[in-house]
Amino acid sequence: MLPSSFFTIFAQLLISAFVLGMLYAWLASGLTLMYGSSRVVNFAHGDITMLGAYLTYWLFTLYNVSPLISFLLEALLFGGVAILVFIAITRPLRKRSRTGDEFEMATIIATFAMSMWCMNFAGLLWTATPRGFRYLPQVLSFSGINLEMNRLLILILSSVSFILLYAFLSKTRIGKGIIYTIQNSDAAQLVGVDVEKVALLSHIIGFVTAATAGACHSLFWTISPTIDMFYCLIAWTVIIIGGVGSLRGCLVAGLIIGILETFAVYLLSPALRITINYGALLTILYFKPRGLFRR
Amino acid sequence: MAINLTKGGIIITTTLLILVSIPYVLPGYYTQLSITILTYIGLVTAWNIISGYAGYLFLGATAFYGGGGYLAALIFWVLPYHVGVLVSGLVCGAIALVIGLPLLKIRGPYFAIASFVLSEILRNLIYYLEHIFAGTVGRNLPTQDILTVYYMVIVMALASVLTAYVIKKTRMGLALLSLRDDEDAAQACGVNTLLYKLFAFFITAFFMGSLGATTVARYGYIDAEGAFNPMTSLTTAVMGLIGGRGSFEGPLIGAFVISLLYELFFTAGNPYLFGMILAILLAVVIMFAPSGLQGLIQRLAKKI
Repeated sequence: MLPSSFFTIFAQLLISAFVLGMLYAWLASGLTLMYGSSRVVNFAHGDITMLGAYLTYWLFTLYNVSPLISFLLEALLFGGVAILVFIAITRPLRKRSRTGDEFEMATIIATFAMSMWCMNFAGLLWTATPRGFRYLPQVLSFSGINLEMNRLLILILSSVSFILLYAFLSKTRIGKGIIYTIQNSDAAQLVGVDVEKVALLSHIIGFVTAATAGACHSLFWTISPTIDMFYCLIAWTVIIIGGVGSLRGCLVAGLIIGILETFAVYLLSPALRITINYGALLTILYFKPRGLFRR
Repeated sequence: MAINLTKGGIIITTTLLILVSIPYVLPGYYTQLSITILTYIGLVTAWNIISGYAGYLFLGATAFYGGGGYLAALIFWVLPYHVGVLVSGLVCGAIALVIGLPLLKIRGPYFAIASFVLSEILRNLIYYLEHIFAGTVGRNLPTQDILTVYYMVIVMALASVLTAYVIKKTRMGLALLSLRDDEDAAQACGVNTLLYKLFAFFITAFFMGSLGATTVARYGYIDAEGAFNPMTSLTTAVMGLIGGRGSFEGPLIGAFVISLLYELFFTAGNPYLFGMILAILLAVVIMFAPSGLQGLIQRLAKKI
C-alpha cells in the first residue's frame, strides 16, 4: 500500500533515510578513526562488512543464532582479526616506510590485496547469487508510516553503538588519546600518549564497526560478494564529507548521504543508486580535492 | 639520452617477426592466447605511465578500456576498423584531458578512490541510459576476423610499450618521476607539473581506449555491465603492482606472467581461486618485495 498524502510520503522517506544514515555513520566511524590516528588507508573496510553480513546469515540459517548474538560475536572475532592485521601488515609497513605518504600508499596496496582476497573468498564460499534471510519482518504502522521491525533494529543497534563509541572516546583516558593522536600525533606522543597502542585500538574499532555494520546490513538487505565495494566507497564518502577523524562529522555526513540517497532514488530511479552516491563523492572531490574539511 | 637505435631495432624486428608468424606456425588457440596477453601488456604498460611514472594510483582502467570499446560500437558502423580504433583512442584521450584537469588535482588515496568511482558511475549510468533511451541492454557491432584483430593488437601493444620506453628515457620521464617523488618541489623547480600529468593521462587513456576498441571487434557485442567490469581495472593494477610499478620492464613482466598463468591454468577452473592466489601474491610483493618481480630479477641478476 502506497501512502497517499505528500506528508506521509515525506515522513516515510525521512525514516528510511534516517535508518540508512545511521548505518552509514556507524559503518564509517571506525574507518575515520583508523585513518585519522594511524594513517592506514583501509580499502578492505567494505570487505569486513561483507564478511560480517555473510557470517550473520550463516549463523542464522545454519544454527539459528540470533543476529543480536552474532552482532556481539563478530565484534569479538573481527577485533581479533584487527590485531592480526596490525601485527602482520601495519607494523612492518610503518617500520619500512620513510615518509607518511609512502606508508599510506603501501597500506592502500596491502589492504587492496586483502580486499581482493576477501571478495574472491566470498565468491568461492557463497557464489555470486545474492543471499538473505528474514528476521523480524513484522511491520510497525504509525498513522500511515510503516517501518519493519528489522529496520528499527538496525536503527537502534547503530545508534546505540555510535553513542557508546562517542562516550568511549570522550570519557576514557585511552579514548581521549585517540582524539589527541588524530589532532596532532607528535604532540600526543610528547604528552605521553602511547601512539602504538592508539593505532592498535583504532584498528580494532575500525574492524569492529565494519563487521557489525555488516550484521546490520544482513537484517534487511540481501548479501552478495560485490557489496564490499559499495560499502567501502560509502565509508570513504562519509569521511570525505565529514572530515578525517571526526565522529561528529561522521554522523552529519552519514545522515546527509542517507537523506540524499533515499530521496534521489525515490525521485529518479532505484537503478541509479550507484550514480547518485558516487556522483556526490566525485562532485565533492571536484570542488575540494582534499575533502570538504582538510586535515 | 641513451636510446640505442641499432639494438632497439633488432629487438623490435625479432619480436615483430615472432608475433606475426604465430598464426601461421602454431594452432589457432595460440593466436587467441597472444591477443589476450598482448592486450594486457598494452593495458598495464599504459597504466604504468600514470600510476608508475607519475605515481597516481589509477584504479579505473576499465573506464577507458570499456569506454573505448563502447565508442567503437558506434564508430565502427561509420569508419573502417583501423581508423575507428585510432579515433576511439583519441576520443578517450580527449575525455582524459577534460576530466584529468579536476581529477589529477586529487592526490594520494582520494585519487585511487575517485578513479575507481569514475568507472563504476559509467557502468551504472550507461546501463541506465541505454535502458531508458535506446530500450536495449547492449549494442551490436561489425566483427572482424581474428587475424585482423590480432595484427591491430600487435600494433597497439607495441606502440604502447615503445611510447612508455621513450617517455622513460627522455626528459618527460624525468619530469614525471620528479613530480611523483615531490610534486610541490618539482613545481617549485620550474617543472610544469600539470602539463606533464595531463599528457601522461592522455597517453594512458589513448592506449587503453584504443585497445578496448581493438579487442571488442572480436565479440561483435558489448553491454555496459561487461564493458565496464571493475575486474579489468583491478587486474590491470594488480599486474602492474606485482610486476613492479614505475620501472619500464616491470609491467611487461607482470602482465605477461600473470595473464599467461591465468590462460593456461584457470580459464577452465575457478576464477575465484585465481583471484585469491593473485591477492596473496600481491600481498607478498607489497610486504617483502615492494619493487615487484622486476626488482627481484634485478637483485638475482646482481648476485649471479
